[in-house]
Amino acid sequence: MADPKELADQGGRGGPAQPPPPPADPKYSWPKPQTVLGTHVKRLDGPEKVTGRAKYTFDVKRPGMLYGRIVRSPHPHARIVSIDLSAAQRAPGVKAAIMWRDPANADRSTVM
Amino acid sequence: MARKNDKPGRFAVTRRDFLKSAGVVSAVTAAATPEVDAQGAGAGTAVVGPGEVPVRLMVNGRRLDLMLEPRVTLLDALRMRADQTGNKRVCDRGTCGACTMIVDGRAVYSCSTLAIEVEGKEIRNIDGLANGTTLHPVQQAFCDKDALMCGFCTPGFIMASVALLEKNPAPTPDEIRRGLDGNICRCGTFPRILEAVSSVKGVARG
Repeated sequence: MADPKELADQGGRGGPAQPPPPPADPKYSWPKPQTVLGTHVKRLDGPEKVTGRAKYTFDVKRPGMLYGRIVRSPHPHARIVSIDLSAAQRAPGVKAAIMWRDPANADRSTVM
Repeated sequence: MARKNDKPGRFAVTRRDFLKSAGVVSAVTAAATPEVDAQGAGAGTAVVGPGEVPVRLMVNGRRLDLMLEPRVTLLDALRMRADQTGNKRVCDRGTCGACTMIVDGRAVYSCSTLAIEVEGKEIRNIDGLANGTTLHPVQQAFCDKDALMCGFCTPGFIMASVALLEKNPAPTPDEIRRGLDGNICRCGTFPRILEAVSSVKGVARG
């Protein structure tokens, strides 16, 4: 197990950030002012995300878009003998109810 | 959360009460359902649905008239019918907090609140928090302290933080942890969120 004191000395979690030692050769010394390393970088997507304006896939709405739902077996350990989609197909607003293979014709099925 | 400032009765269910009572409520509902069915509309009980009914919501100070099935949650009503997709639906069962909105000054899980429950109440969500391009102080603090990564939980965290700070403008770190313990961030930005909320000054009491 790592020694907590050792982690802290390395500037690890909870420890103070240690400034890097100055390079021995002045040719490689840190530029002043620093423009990239050690500077605060503003998060470009910050304002979009904190205002809720950022569009995630889940937020996209397209004309005529349909919604899908995966139905899995409610039983943790069971053999699927048959699947009857007719009730789902009759439900109002349902455009399609599909299964990736028919358990009754497993041999002829193609894997999606 | 500063419980001493809470006003019990203004809104029936807070997020904390919801978590405490969720198990009890479902048992009671199951037991009570046959009785409700037996009484029906004839006994003077107001029955709405199952079809769409008019629902008038007050969201971010603007009136919103919608036709909704009574089962539609506040979150889905605003996301699906009002194009206000800022607050996210993540767990949809009142555990993660990404859907947190402020209803009459209190943080609530909008995924576990029916839209018809909050008719006539003042609803605020992340979409209405900023004033044009001027960020709310809490939003600004989240940006300044880099208190987000993927940002999916951020709207909920910000609304919960606003609700906390409006009750308690100068919370201690423990009060912040308690106020935000109904929210989860999978990226693990909790230390930065704590830093951001601690840094916010000048949020007016709600």
